[in-house]
Amino acid sequence: MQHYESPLIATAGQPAIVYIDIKSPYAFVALKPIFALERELGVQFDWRPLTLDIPSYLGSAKKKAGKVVESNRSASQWSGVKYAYRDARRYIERQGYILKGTEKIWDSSIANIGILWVVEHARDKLEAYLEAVYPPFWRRELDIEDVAVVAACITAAGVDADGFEAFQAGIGKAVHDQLQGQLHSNNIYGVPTYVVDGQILFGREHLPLVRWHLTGKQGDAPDICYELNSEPYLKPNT
Amino acid sequence: MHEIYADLSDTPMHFRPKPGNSDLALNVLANLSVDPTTFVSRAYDAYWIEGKDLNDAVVVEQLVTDAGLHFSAELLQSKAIDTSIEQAQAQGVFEVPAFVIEEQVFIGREHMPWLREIVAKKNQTLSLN
Repeated sequence: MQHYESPLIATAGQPAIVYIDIKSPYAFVALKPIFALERELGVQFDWRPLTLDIPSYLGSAKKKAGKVVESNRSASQWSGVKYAYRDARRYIERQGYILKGTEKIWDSSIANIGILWVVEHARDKLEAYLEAVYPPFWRRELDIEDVAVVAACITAAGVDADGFEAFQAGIGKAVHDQLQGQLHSNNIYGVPTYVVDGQILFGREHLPLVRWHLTGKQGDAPDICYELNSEPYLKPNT
Repeated sequence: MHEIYADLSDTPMHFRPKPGNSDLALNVLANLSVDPTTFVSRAYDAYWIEGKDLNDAVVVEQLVTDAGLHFSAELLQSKAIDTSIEQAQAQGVFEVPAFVIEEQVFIGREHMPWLREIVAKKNQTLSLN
Protein backbone atom coordinates (compact mmCIF):
# COMPACT_ATOMS: atom_id res chain seq x y z
CA MET A 1 0.00 0.00 0.00
CA GLN A 2 1.25 3.45 -0.96
CA HIS A 3 1.40 6.36 1.48
CA TYR A 4 -0.85 9.26 0.53
CA GLU A 5 0.93 11.79 -1.63
CA SER A 6 -1.07 14.68 -0.19
CA PRO A 7 -4.07 15.24 2.10
CA LEU A 8 -5.48 17.51 -0.61
CA ILE A 9 -4.92 15.49 -3.78
CA ALA A 10 -7.01 12.44 -4.58
CA THR A 11 -4.98 9.27 -4.93
CA ALA A 12 -6.27 8.06 -8.28
CA GLY A 13 -7.78 11.16 -9.81
CA GLN A 14 -11.12 10.81 -8.02
CA PRO A 15 -13.23 13.98 -8.17
CA ALA A 16 -13.31 14.50 -4.39
CA ILE A 17 -11.74 13.29 -1.16
CA VAL A 18 -13.99 12.44 1.80
CA TYR A 19 -12.59 12.26 5.35
CA ILE A 20 -14.58 10.35 7.96
CA ASP A 21 -14.18 8.85 11.43
CA ILE A 22 -16.18 5.90 12.75
CA LYS A 23 -16.62 7.60 16.14
CA SER A 24 -18.20 10.74 14.71
CA PRO A 25 -22.00 10.87 14.81
CA TYR A 26 -21.93 13.61 12.18
CA ALA A 27 -19.94 11.37 9.83
CA PHE A 28 -22.52 8.62 10.45
CA VAL A 29 -25.32 10.96 9.37
CA ALA A 30 -23.36 12.00 6.28
CA LEU A 31 -22.60 8.54 4.92
CA LYS A 32 -25.80 7.73 3.06
CA PRO A 33 -26.10 11.17 1.46
CA ILE A 34 -22.48 10.94 0.27
CA PHE A 35 -22.91 7.46 -1.19
CA ALA A 36 -26.17 8.65 -2.77
CA LEU A 37 -24.22 11.49 -4.41
CA GLU A 38 -21.61 9.02 -5.71
CA ARG A 39 -24.41 7.01 -7.32
CA GLU A 40 -26.17 10.11 -8.63
CA LEU A 41 -22.99 11.27 -10.36
CA GLY A 42 -21.67 7.82 -11.27
CA VAL A 43 -18.35 8.44 -9.52
CA GLN A 44 -16.35 7.11 -6.59
CA PHE A 45 -14.75 9.44 -4.10
CA ASP A 46 -11.40 8.97 -2.37
CA TRP A 47 -12.53 7.99 1.15
CA ARG A 48 -9.96 8.41 3.91
CA PRO A 49 -9.88 8.10 7.68
CA LEU A 50 -9.43 11.05 10.01
CA THR A 51 -9.10 9.74 13.54
CA LEU A 52 -10.36 12.62 15.68
CA ASP A 53 -8.56 13.74 18.81
CA ILE A 54 -11.80 14.70 20.55
CA PRO A 55 -10.40 15.59 24.01
CA SER A 56 -8.21 18.27 22.43
CA TYR A 57 -11.24 20.36 21.42
CA LEU A 58 -14.28 19.02 23.28
CA GLY A 59 -12.71 17.90 26.54
CA SER A 60 -13.15 14.33 27.72
CA ALA A 61 -15.65 12.44 29.85
CA LYS A 62 -16.56 8.90 30.82
CA LYS A 63 -20.04 7.61 31.56
CA LYS A 64 -21.10 4.52 33.42
CA ALA A 65 -24.71 3.35 33.54
CA GLY A 66 -25.77 6.63 31.94
CA LYS A 67 -24.03 8.80 34.55
CA VAL A 68 -20.92 10.90 34.06
CA VAL A 69 -18.19 9.47 36.27
CA GLU A 70 -15.25 11.48 34.93
CA SER A 71 -15.17 14.80 33.07
CA ASN A 72 -12.92 17.76 32.33
CA ARG A 73 -15.42 19.47 30.03
CA SER A 74 -16.55 23.08 30.50
CA ALA A 75 -20.27 23.94 30.56
CA SER A 76 -20.15 25.24 27.01
CA GLN A 77 -18.29 22.11 25.83
CA TRP A 78 -21.05 20.00 27.41
CA SER A 79 -23.72 22.10 25.67
CA GLY A 80 -21.96 21.56 22.37
CA VAL A 81 -21.56 17.81 22.88
CA LYS A 82 -25.16 17.31 24.02
CA TYR A 83 -26.51 19.34 21.14
CA ALA A 84 -24.30 17.49 18.64
CA TYR A 85 -25.73 14.15 19.76
CA ARG A 86 -29.33 15.37 19.80
CA ASP A 87 -28.92 16.90 16.38
CA ALA A 88 -27.23 13.87 14.83
CA ARG A 89 -29.82 11.58 16.43
CA ARG A 90 -32.86 13.34 14.96
CA TYR A 91 -31.32 13.26 11.48
CA ILE A 92 -30.09 9.66 11.66
CA GLU A 93 -33.53 8.55 12.84
CA ARG A 94 -34.94 9.97 9.62
CA GLN A 95 -32.60 7.55 7.84
CA GLY A 96 -33.95 4.61 9.85
CA TYR A 97 -30.99 4.17 12.21
CA ILE A 98 -30.44 4.39 15.96
CA LEU A 99 -27.81 6.56 17.62
CA LYS A 100 -26.94 6.14 21.29
CA GLY A 101 -24.39 8.46 22.86
CA THR A 102 -21.11 6.67 23.56
CA GLU A 103 -20.02 6.02 27.14
CA LYS A 104 -16.40 6.93 26.49
CA ILE A 105 -14.27 8.41 23.74
CA TRP A 106 -13.29 5.42 21.67
CA ASP A 107 -10.02 4.85 19.87
CA SER A 108 -11.39 4.39 16.37
CA SER A 109 -8.04 3.95 14.65
CA ILE A 110 -8.39 0.19 14.00
CA ALA A 111 -11.84 0.56 12.44
CA ASN A 112 -10.55 3.55 10.48
CA ILE A 113 -7.57 1.51 9.25
CA GLY A 114 -10.27 -0.92 8.15
CA ILE A 115 -11.36 1.78 5.68
CA LEU A 116 -7.85 1.71 4.17
CA TRP A 117 -7.98 -2.08 3.94
CA VAL A 118 -11.33 -2.16 2.19
CA VAL A 119 -10.43 0.67 -0.19
CA GLU A 120 -7.24 -1.21 -1.07
CA HIS A 121 -8.82 -4.65 -1.54
CA ALA A 122 -12.44 -4.13 -2.59
CA ARG A 123 -13.42 -0.48 -3.07
CA ASP A 124 -16.90 -1.49 -4.20
CA LYS A 125 -17.51 -2.96 -0.74
CA LEU A 126 -16.75 0.23 1.17
CA GLU A 127 -20.38 1.11 1.75
CA ALA A 128 -21.02 -2.44 2.98
CA TYR A 129 -18.07 -2.20 5.39
CA LEU A 130 -19.21 1.12 6.78
CA GLU A 131 -22.71 -0.32 7.06
CA ALA A 132 -21.25 -3.24 9.04
CA VAL A 133 -19.46 -0.88 11.43
CA TYR A 134 -21.37 2.38 11.91
CA PRO A 135 -24.91 1.23 12.81
CA PRO A 136 -23.91 -1.44 15.38
CA PHE A 137 -21.24 0.82 16.86
CA TRP A 138 -23.80 3.55 17.36
CA ARG A 139 -26.20 1.04 18.90
CA ARG A 140 -23.37 0.32 21.39
CA GLU A 141 -23.07 -3.23 20.08
CA LEU A 142 -19.56 -3.13 18.61
CA ASP A 143 -16.15 -2.95 20.26
CA ILE A 144 -14.21 -1.12 17.57
CA GLU A 145 -10.99 -1.31 19.60
CA ASP A 146 -10.96 -5.11 19.12
CA VAL A 147 -9.09 -6.15 15.96
CA ALA A 148 -11.09 -9.39 15.68
CA VAL A 149 -14.36 -7.46 15.77
CA VAL A 150 -13.22 -5.10 13.03
CA ALA A 151 -11.95 -8.05 10.97
CA ALA A 152 -15.37 -9.67 11.34
CA CYS A 153 -16.99 -6.48 9.99
CA ILE A 154 -14.66 -6.60 6.99
CA THR A 155 -15.67 -10.20 6.38
CA ALA A 156 -19.34 -9.33 6.84
CA ALA A 157 -18.93 -6.74 4.10
CA GLY A 158 -17.79 -9.47 1.74
CA VAL A 159 -14.12 -8.57 1.85
CA ASP A 160 -11.31 -11.03 2.61
CA ALA A 161 -9.89 -10.06 6.01
CA ASP A 162 -6.92 -12.41 5.81
CA GLY A 163 -3.89 -10.36 6.78
CA PHE A 164 -5.85 -7.47 8.31
CA GLU A 165 -4.45 -8.08 11.78
CA ALA A 166 -0.89 -7.66 10.54
CA PHE A 167 -1.92 -4.76 8.31
CA GLN A 168 -3.51 -2.74 11.11
CA ALA A 169 -0.38 -3.15 13.21
CA GLY A 170 2.05 -2.60 10.34
CA ILE A 171 1.74 -0.80 7.02
CA GLY A 172 -1.91 0.15 7.54
CA LYS A 173 -1.07 1.85 10.82
CA ALA A 174 1.95 3.57 9.25
CA VAL A 175 -0.15 4.97 6.39
CA HIS A 176 -2.91 5.97 8.80
CA ASP A 177 -0.54 7.66 11.23
CA GLN A 178 1.37 9.47 8.52
CA LEU A 179 -1.88 10.82 7.10
CA GLN A 180 -3.10 11.99 10.52
CA GLY A 181 0.17 13.85 10.98
CA GLN A 182 -0.46 15.84 7.79
CA LEU A 183 -4.09 16.80 8.28
CA HIS A 184 -4.11 19.62 10.84
CA SER A 185 -1.33 21.52 9.10
CA ASN A 186 -3.47 21.36 5.95
CA ASN A 187 -6.55 22.73 7.76
CA ILE A 188 -8.36 19.40 7.85
CA TYR A 189 -9.51 18.82 11.41
CA GLY A 190 -13.08 17.49 11.49
CA VAL A 191 -15.42 15.07 9.78
CA PRO A 192 -16.96 14.76 7.39
CA THR A 193 -14.60 16.90 5.37
CA TYR A 194 -14.71 17.05 1.60
CA VAL A 195 -11.87 18.24 -0.60
CA VAL A 196 -13.11 19.24 -4.03
CA ASP A 197 -11.35 21.42 -6.59
CA GLY A 198 -8.71 22.07 -3.92
CA GLN A 199 -11.35 23.54 -1.59
CA ILE A 200 -11.70 22.12 1.92
CA LEU A 201 -15.32 21.88 3.09
CA PHE A 202 -15.95 20.70 6.66
CA GLY A 203 -19.45 19.43 7.48
CA ARG A 204 -22.13 17.55 5.62
CA GLU A 205 -24.00 20.81 5.08
CA HIS A 206 -21.59 21.46 2.20
CA LEU A 207 -22.75 18.48 0.17
CA PRO A 208 -24.92 20.70 -2.09
CA LEU A 209 -21.79 22.74 -2.89
CA VAL A 210 -19.82 19.55 -3.59
CA ARG A 211 -22.54 18.50 -6.05
CA TRP A 212 -22.48 21.97 -7.63
CA HIS A 213 -18.69 21.74 -8.12
CA LEU A 214 -18.91 18.26 -9.60
CA THR A 215 -21.69 19.10 -12.02
CA GLY A 216 -19.96 22.01 -13.71
CA LYS A 217 -20.98 24.85 -11.36
CA GLN A 218 -24.17 25.46 -13.27
CA GLY A 219 -26.47 28.18 -12.01
CA ASP A 220 -26.12 29.97 -8.68
CA ALA A 221 -24.04 28.27 -6.01
CA PRO A 222 -26.24 26.61 -3.39
CA ASP A 223 -26.16 27.65 0.25
CA ILE A 224 -25.27 25.20 3.00
CA CYS A 225 -28.04 22.84 4.01
CA TYR A 226 -28.78 19.44 5.47
CA GLU A 227 -30.74 17.84 2.67
CA LEU A 228 -33.62 15.71 3.89
CA ASN A 229 -34.20 12.20 2.68
CA SER A 230 -37.86 11.79 1.83
CA GLU A 231 -37.83 8.09 2.81
CA PRO A 232 -35.61 6.27 5.31
CA TYR A 233 -32.58 4.71 3.58
CA LEU A 234 -33.20 1.54 5.57
CA LYS A 235 -35.95 0.09 7.66
CA PRO A 236 -35.45 1.10 11.28
CA ASN A 237 -33.05 -1.15 13.16
CA THR A 238 -35.13 -2.11 16.13
CA MET B 1 -15.89 28.75 5.44
CA HIS B 2 -18.18 31.78 5.66
CA GLU B 3 -15.90 33.61 3.23
CA ILE B 4 -16.52 30.92 0.60
CA TYR B 5 -20.28 31.41 0.67
CA ALA B 6 -20.01 35.20 0.86
CA ASP B 7 -17.86 35.14 -2.28
CA LEU B 8 -20.18 32.73 -4.08
CA SER B 9 -23.20 34.93 -3.36
CA ASP B 10 -21.32 38.13 -4.24
CA THR B 11 -21.88 39.49 -0.74
CA PRO B 12 -18.98 41.83 0.10
CA MET B 13 -18.63 40.84 3.76
CA HIS B 14 -15.77 42.19 5.84
CA PHE B 15 -14.39 39.72 8.37
CA ARG B 16 -12.72 41.51 11.23
CA PRO B 17 -9.72 40.03 13.04
CA LYS B 18 -11.66 40.39 16.30
CA PRO B 19 -15.50 40.38 16.42
CA GLY B 20 -17.05 43.72 17.32
CA ASN B 21 -19.42 44.25 20.22
CA SER B 22 -23.09 44.33 19.16
CA ASP B 23 -24.72 44.84 22.57
CA LEU B 24 -26.62 48.07 21.85
CA ALA B 25 -28.09 46.76 18.60
CA LEU B 26 -29.16 43.58 20.40
CA ASN B 27 -30.75 45.65 23.15
CA VAL B 28 -32.85 47.38 20.49
CA LEU B 29 -33.84 44.05 18.97
CA ALA B 30 -34.94 42.75 22.37
CA ASN B 31 -36.89 45.92 23.18
CA LEU B 32 -38.70 46.39 19.87
CA SER B 33 -42.39 45.67 20.07
CA VAL B 34 -42.91 45.83 16.29
CA ASP B 35 -41.69 43.60 13.43
CA PRO B 36 -37.89 43.85 13.75
CA THR B 37 -36.91 42.37 10.36
CA THR B 38 -36.10 45.66 8.63
CA PHE B 39 -33.93 46.74 11.58
CA VAL B 40 -32.18 43.35 11.69
CA SER B 41 -31.45 43.44 7.98
CA ARG B 42 -30.14 47.01 8.20
CA ALA B 43 -27.97 46.14 11.24
CA TYR B 44 -26.38 43.16 9.47
CA ASP B 45 -25.52 45.26 6.42
CA ALA B 46 -24.11 47.97 8.68
CA TYR B 47 -21.84 45.55 10.53
CA TRP B 48 -20.79 43.11 7.83
CA ILE B 49 -20.72 45.30 4.74
CA GLU B 50 -20.27 48.86 5.99
CA GLY B 51 -18.00 48.01 8.94
CA LYS B 52 -20.04 50.01 11.46
CA ASP B 53 -19.94 49.68 15.25
CA LEU B 54 -23.17 48.14 16.58
CA ASN B 55 -22.24 49.20 20.09
CA ASP B 56 -22.21 52.89 19.21
CA ALA B 57 -25.41 54.65 20.32
CA VAL B 58 -25.30 57.16 17.45
CA VAL B 59 -24.91 54.39 14.86
CA VAL B 60 -27.67 52.31 16.40
CA GLU B 61 -30.08 55.24 16.61
CA GLN B 62 -29.48 55.89 12.90
CA LEU B 63 -30.16 52.21 12.11
CA VAL B 64 -33.47 52.39 13.93
CA THR B 65 -34.41 55.51 11.97
CA ASP B 66 -33.22 53.95 8.69
CA ALA B 67 -35.51 51.02 9.41
CA GLY B 68 -38.44 53.44 9.55
CA LEU B 69 -38.92 52.99 13.28
CA HIS B 70 -39.27 55.52 16.08
CA PHE B 71 -36.18 55.76 18.27
CA SER B 72 -36.34 56.29 22.02
CA ALA B 73 -33.60 55.93 24.64
CA GLU B 74 -35.48 53.04 26.28
CA LEU B 75 -34.62 50.90 23.26
CA LEU B 76 -30.99 50.89 24.37
CA GLN B 77 -31.67 49.48 27.82
CA SER B 78 -30.35 46.00 28.52
CA LYS B 79 -32.99 44.42 30.77
CA ALA B 80 -34.89 42.71 27.95
CA ILE B 81 -31.79 41.25 26.33
CA ASP B 82 -30.62 39.83 29.67
CA THR B 83 -33.96 38.05 30.05
CA SER B 84 -33.87 36.89 26.44
CA ILE B 85 -30.36 35.43 26.84
CA GLU B 86 -31.36 33.63 30.04
CA GLN B 87 -34.39 32.12 28.30
CA ALA B 88 -32.34 31.09 25.29
CA GLN B 89 -29.69 29.41 27.42
CA ALA B 90 -32.37 27.58 29.38
CA GLN B 91 -33.69 26.23 26.06
CA GLY B 92 -30.22 24.96 25.12
CA VAL B 93 -29.21 27.72 22.73
CA PHE B 94 -25.46 28.31 22.80
CA GLU B 95 -24.72 29.66 19.32
CA VAL B 96 -26.36 31.65 16.56
CA PRO B 97 -28.27 31.57 14.35
CA ALA B 98 -30.51 29.36 16.43
CA PHE B 99 -34.13 28.45 15.77
CA VAL B 100 -36.50 27.21 18.46
CA ILE B 101 -39.59 25.55 17.09
CA GLU B 102 -41.87 22.89 18.56
CA GLU B 103 -39.53 22.59 21.57
CA GLN B 104 -36.62 21.72 19.31
CA VAL B 105 -33.46 23.80 18.99
CA PHE B 106 -31.80 24.00 15.58
CA ILE B 107 -28.45 25.74 15.43
CA GLY B 108 -27.29 26.93 12.03
CA ARG B 109 -29.00 27.87 8.79
CA GLU B 110 -28.20 24.45 7.34
CA HIS B 111 -31.40 23.24 9.02
CA MET B 112 -33.62 25.29 6.70
CA PRO B 113 -35.08 22.25 4.89
CA TRP B 114 -36.30 20.75 8.18
CA LEU B 115 -37.54 24.12 9.43
CA ARG B 116 -39.46 24.62 6.17
CA GLU B 117 -40.98 21.18 6.59
CA ILE B 118 -42.17 21.98 10.14
CA VAL B 119 -43.61 25.32 9.10
CA ALA B 120 -45.34 23.77 6.07
CA LYS B 121 -46.94 21.11 8.28
CA LYS B 122 -48.07 23.77 10.74
CA ASN B 123 -49.57 25.83 7.92
CA GLN B 124 -51.31 22.75 6.55
CA THR B 125 -52.78 21.99 9.97
CA LEU B 126 -53.94 25.59 10.33
CA SER B 127 -55.59 25.56 6.91
CA LEU B 128 -57.42 22.33 7.74
CA ASN B 129 -58.82 23.77 10.97
